[in-house]
Amino acid sequence: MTEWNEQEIVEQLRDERSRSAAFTLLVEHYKEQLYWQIRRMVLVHDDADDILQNTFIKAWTGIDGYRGEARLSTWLFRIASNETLNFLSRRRQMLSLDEEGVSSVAATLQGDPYFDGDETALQLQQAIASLPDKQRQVFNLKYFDEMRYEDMSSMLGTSVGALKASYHHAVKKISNFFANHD
Amino acid sequence: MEAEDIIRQYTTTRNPFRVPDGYFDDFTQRLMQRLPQEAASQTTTPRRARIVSLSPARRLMRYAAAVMVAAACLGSGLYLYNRSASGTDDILTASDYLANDDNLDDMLDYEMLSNNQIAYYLTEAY
Repeated sequence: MTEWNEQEIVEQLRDERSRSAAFTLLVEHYKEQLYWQIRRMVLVHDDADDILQNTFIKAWTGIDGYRGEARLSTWLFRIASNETLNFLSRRRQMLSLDEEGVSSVAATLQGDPYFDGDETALQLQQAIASLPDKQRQVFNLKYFDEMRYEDMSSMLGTSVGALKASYHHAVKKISNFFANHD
Repeated sequence: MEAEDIIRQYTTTRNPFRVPDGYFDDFTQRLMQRLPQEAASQTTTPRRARIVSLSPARRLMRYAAAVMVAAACLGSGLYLYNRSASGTDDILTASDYLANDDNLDDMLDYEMLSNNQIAYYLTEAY
């Protein structure tokens, strides 16, 4: 089987004999989408790689707990989101992301061989990095992935109203960031 | 100009992030090689909640601390009630409070905290 059929994959994941093959298809199908969502939050490739692997490992070990109430993509995204926010929280305990921290985002990206954005792209990443984690997540999903609030709501378990408020506040702060840096 | 339009001026459609050559090609194989070992190590050592019993002295201290916190809350409440009833002080309105970006960030953060995340933070497991 090469075509993606979610219902079939779910059934195969529940059967221990076909679980491994079905999980391989699951990883193939979602790895890139999840990677970019994680990467935009943590910025550095090695961190994104670790979190992506942990996400799939948690999905594998918790597969019996998947009851099929949410789509596979929603379930995986929730795990990835929790892993990412947890990672950022742990990292923040080591270095505080204040003004100096935001400047260090620029230094990190400038020295990163896997970032080849120009000065403007760098400024945008600095502006996004100045947002609180959850606001940043909402901004990335809405602005770059153009995700609907309703889909985001089921993925993040947050009300549509809170997401809209969060996004608009983030947009305002980023535009202010550019206004102040021009 | 809308705030979103200002940002669009600074954004190109090109993704500035790159990955090492062949990263996505190798990823699935690398991950699948790790899975059986990870699954085994996590399933053979099930977590159990640790029950911690407090000594009578520590329990008494907990009760004392709880009473003090309750008294402090009650005292603060009465104080604030009297102040607002007297009408002599300015009252901080919700809009004043939220005019501060940090306060608004905090409020939005709490608003977006899902049950799923609370469970995750408490157990560190999905």
